Amino acid sequence: MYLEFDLDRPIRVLLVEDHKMNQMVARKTLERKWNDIQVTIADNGKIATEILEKELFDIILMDIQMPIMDGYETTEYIRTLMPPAVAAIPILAMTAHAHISKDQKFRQFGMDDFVLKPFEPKQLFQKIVKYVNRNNKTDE
Amino acid sequence: MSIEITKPMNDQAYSYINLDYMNMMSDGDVEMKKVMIDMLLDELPTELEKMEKLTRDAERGELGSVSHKMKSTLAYVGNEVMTESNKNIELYAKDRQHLDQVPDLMANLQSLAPKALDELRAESERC
Repeated sequence: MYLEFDLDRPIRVLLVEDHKMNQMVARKTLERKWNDIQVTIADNGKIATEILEKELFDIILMDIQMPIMDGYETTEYIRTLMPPAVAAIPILAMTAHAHISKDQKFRQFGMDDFVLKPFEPKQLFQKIVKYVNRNNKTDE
Repeated sequence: MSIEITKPMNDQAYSYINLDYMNMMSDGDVEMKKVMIDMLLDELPTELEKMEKLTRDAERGELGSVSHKMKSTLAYVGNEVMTESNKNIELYAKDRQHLDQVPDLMANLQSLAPKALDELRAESERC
């Protein structure tokens, strides 16, 4: 699979994750794959919504279990209470909850898809490209 | 209780850690690998201490949450017994089932963590 974006600018990723090691590994993995990628990190959902008040992103990578505001709550907030351009950003759950595919709860809260942690880089790249390109086509 | 890891380790000299995932994620970046190991050396004892306290205090909900975070940490350590014990602690704490088994599972973590940490220290020095 050819993993490139249909965009003529660097893509912007918001990584919402409270585990420091996961933050660093995800950031480094993405930067190694796309050297001009812009990765912003939020330690929890509350911080993510504050960042989203000021900045637009091409995709959000969302941990589920976080303090203060978890991934489900944050996604619901983004989808229902934020401006349309923000509410339309694709959201990928990144979770160590192995049962996530069974209960489909992530879809009920408005997440587009999920990647299981510990994540496999290729799978993450494929899903990021898929959803960024899909959203870019919708915008056109 | 004597616990041995049955899976063969790729890191030839190690019996309590398996750095395959860490090596894959650091992708030859030695500096990144060292940072990851040093983070583990810092985080693993802290998270374990939190879990011990929550087990003693019977704070099951919070124990499940901390155990869930520990899952990510243990993915980089690569000790299957620790991973499995922690997975069951999270499951039992969240489901409020088999709680009588939690102390034994915690004992697994407590007995293996110092050995895993010793090997991580050795690997850090090699980086």
